[in-house]
Amino acid sequence: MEIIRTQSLMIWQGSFTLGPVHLQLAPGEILGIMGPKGAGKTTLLKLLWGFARPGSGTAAVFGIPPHLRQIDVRLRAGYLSDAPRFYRWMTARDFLKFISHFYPNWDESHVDSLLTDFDIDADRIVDGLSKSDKMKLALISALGHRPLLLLLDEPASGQDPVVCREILSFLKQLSRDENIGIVISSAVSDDLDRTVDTILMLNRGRVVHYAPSAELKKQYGLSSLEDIFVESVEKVSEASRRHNA
Amino acid sequence: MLNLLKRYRKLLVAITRRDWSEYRYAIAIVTVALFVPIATLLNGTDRPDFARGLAGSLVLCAAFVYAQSSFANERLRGTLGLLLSLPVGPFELVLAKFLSLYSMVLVTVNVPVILLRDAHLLLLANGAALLLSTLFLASTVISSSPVAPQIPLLFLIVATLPVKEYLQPHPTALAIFQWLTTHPSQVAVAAIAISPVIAISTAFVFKRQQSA
Repeated sequence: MEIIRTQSLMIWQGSFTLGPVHLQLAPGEILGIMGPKGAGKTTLLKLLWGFARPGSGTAAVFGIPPHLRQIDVRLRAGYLSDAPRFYRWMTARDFLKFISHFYPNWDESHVDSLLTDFDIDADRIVDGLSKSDKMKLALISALGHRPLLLLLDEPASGQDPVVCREILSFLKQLSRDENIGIVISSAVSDDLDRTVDTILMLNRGRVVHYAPSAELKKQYGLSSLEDIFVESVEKVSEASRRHNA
Repeated sequence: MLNLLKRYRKLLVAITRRDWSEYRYAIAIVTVALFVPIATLLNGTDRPDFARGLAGSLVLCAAFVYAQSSFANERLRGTLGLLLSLPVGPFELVLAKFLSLYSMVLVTVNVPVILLRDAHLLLLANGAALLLSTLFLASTVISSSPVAPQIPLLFLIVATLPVKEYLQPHPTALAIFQWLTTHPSQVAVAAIAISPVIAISTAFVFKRQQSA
């Protein structure tokens, strides 16, 4: 059974329209959401996390409409926003302890091993951690309750390439080893190239492509998802220019 | 049901512990400051009204500072988004914030005032502290405007106006006002009783705002 299923999912926010989006995510699958700023990546993740209510169509996470039963979804999923917030005066350990109170199934030993894997000094004040360590800490806080689904909003954005690769390869390993479904959004870049199984390309709220990334690369004869995105968007603009002419 | 209560107790402990940990110095400063007029009253003074006024101002200050810090700061630094992304409903979160605030305000007020061994004064202080802190927090929860915490302060200005004169043409209102000013204990009991009602209503409003 799939973890996420959306059907004709749409939302209107002022003049911006997202959708219709049809997608599915199976356990152990990594779905990349790709698109430039304003494409609707964060909006789609917010819909899946229950922060926003669908305008039309349906969204189901673990078979549950997330906006109606947020807590049930959140107990089984982890979410990382594009700008994670912390209590900066806390130590990393205190911050994770605070988060742990909200999850009955919090796994302390799992968190300790993640802190070691990511080489984070848990006794340091959060404000004193580097940007990449803060992102790793946010990721650990989203993983402490051993979720079956991870929703990550641009986790690699603004990180140096080494850290970015470390985070993405960790996520790939995690999805394989623990059969976790992962949704990662990213601005147009090659962040997702080596990581995702399936790609959803968005441009100005519209779905440009939704397909297995290997299949798409084969179809276009290109090795970079970014190149495919640019070519597809150019084709659409060209067609619309011709249509208007 | 038991699981739900267990989870809520954990949430309450987490929020209260976090607030105490962040505002412990503010709590200590206001509590110690409140000891000054209390000690003055205990030792006997020729200006007891000044000492009582100072104590009242400090109670007002505690209610305002804790309420503003407790929720408005979460909003300003973006950590309200963090709390709302956790598996906790907005209703439960706001109730936990109110309970955490009450724990801070009641400790601040009761620790020094209890030394006076005056049950009547203790009742008045608790009534004032609970109602004021509830109003301050309610305004910051409902409105994200930076002036929201100050709005209840405006109502306190009423106390400085010659209300009796204004109410002369309205005998019923004047009678109510006179009853209120001559029955402070009943007013304090009413304030204690109405505070949880305001807190629960505020939590409902916040829940509706979040689901809109």
